Amino acid sequence: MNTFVSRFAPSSSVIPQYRGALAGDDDDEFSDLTWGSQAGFGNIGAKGIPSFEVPNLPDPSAFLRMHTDDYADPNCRIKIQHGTTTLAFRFKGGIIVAVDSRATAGSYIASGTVKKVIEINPYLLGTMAGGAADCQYWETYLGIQCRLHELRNRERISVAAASKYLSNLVYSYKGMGLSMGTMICGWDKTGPALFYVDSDGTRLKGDIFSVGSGSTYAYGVLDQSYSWDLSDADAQELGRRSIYAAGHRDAYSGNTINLYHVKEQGWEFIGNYDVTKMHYDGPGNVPGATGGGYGYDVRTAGRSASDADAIDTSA
Amino acid sequence: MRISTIEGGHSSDRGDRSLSLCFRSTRVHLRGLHTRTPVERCTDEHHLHFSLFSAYTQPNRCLAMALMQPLLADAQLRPVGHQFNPYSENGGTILAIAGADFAVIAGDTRQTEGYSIQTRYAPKVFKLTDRAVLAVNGFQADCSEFVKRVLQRIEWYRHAHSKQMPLKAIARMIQTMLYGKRFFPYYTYNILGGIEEDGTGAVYSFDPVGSYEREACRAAGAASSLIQPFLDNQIYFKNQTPAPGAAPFVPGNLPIDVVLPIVIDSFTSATERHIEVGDGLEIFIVLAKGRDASQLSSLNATEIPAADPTGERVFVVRRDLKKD
Repeated sequence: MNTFVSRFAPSSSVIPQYRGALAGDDDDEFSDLTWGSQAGFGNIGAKGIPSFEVPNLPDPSAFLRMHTDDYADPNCRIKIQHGTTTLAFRFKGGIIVAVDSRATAGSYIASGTVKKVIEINPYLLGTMAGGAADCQYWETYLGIQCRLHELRNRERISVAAASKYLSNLVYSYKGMGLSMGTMICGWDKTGPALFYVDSDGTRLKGDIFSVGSGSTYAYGVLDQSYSWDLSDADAQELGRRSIYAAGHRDAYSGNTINLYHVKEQGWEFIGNYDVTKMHYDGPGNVPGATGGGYGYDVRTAGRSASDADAIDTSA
Repeated sequence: MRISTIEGGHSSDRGDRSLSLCFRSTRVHLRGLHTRTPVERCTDEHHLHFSLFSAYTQPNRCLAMALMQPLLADAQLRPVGHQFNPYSENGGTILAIAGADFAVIAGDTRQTEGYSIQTRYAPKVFKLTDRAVLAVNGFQADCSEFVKRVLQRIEWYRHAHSKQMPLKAIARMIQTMLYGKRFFPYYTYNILGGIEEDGTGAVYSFDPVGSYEREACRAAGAASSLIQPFLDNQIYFKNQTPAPGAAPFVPGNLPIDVVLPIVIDSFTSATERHIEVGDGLEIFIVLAKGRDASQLSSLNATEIPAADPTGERVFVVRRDLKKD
């Protein structure tokens, strides 16, 4: 079957040979061990690499695109969730990770409560942009591999190694239609470390990243106030404020903000904040809050063009 | 829909009559070669299905056909495009709501294809274990195949571990089973409802390739965009403000006698405004261990016998919906 696929695969979709059983009849891939459970990863074959069924076609990725790409064709049947703003930045106190919680299918808001920060293990966080299932599945899989690394080497995996594992993994599927833009955040021997990994195979080390349709808005706020010497409270506030800006201006982002802080002892969940509440009332009584809402209406009250009293009608 | 392969060709009429017929029915004319051009949808679904059937039963032959022998193109030399479309959309809607110690999972029973009603009783909600119920929606063939495989894996788990599979484990298993077909997806929207090991009601919703999330309520399928905003308002109390002095709203804690009328009203309303919803309604109710079932008596609920009569209990309520 794998020889069959590679024989008819066009050069555009690279199907690596080692992936082994691209099984048509997926019963073949269940070893006797699978009768029990393998942490849910029952499709991981003997070589430790999951196998996937691929349609019997000359160009499987074109088939997938035809049925799942709602940018190319809004009437396609299988809607994969999209749209996002995520950000992470490194500073002296660790790494701040902030994300929104909106998932859209076309113009429909499919969910407003998505968890876009994936807790890989107590020391590693991954963010989710692009295909929700791709990020959830592969970052869970990365968690398994990181644990195996720990057991084999008696020390935690470095963030660099973990992100490279993910990057090499998605690169082996290049051209098959995976879609993920993720930031791998953690604290290792070198201190706080942040890597951007996407499904094209890009892997970048850096201090500040923002990914998703609202990233430009988030960068606008982030770049303006970022400094290495930010206090923990100010850094958390900057993360919140940046995602708020994206939620306010990008229609594909919004609902709520999830905020995490990666510290030396592992990550910590800081809180969940409603974007609309942030606009009118602010994040509430939390460290770093400046008091009051982020919306500019409070600053223009009585002087705005939309304020009937402020418009000069005498002329 | 889009063209996946583009082949040049010249006329020749050969091979099995019905096969060439089916290919002719799915054939499309391109405005330009080597372009991805949107084309009209094939109007003759039966022929399309026949070709799919052949693709499964005669893979080698059909692959050869798919790689395209030259075909007669209305006596003109034109490029011919073909596509593999194994999916259909069978309408209907499902929803699930979690309470503190119960879960309600419901679906209508109408099955449609295009504007015709194929059957008025096609169940979409299935009991998996004594504490888990799965609702599936989308393409019926993929749905029934998927449920079959989930049930098989759950039985394997029971044989290996001598206990019923916990709800959160079923949820993770459904993720990996859906993702295992990431490059040839099941066209199924799944909602899993039931009781967790700590005795709380839970709902898990999935996209077709396996991303999932635990929620308090979720609607999916044809009328999801009609029902979900209603549930947001009634279950999550979105855009509601408590009366002055009244207790604040706590989402996810509604009693069952409030939840069930919300479920029934969701479906009667969706039936009024969506052509693919109606005929019958099946509501599965999973009650936590030891929970009183007296509130279900007025609804004429029948209990589905449990493997362990002292544990969680599953009831089903069947009602009529409008049939026009």
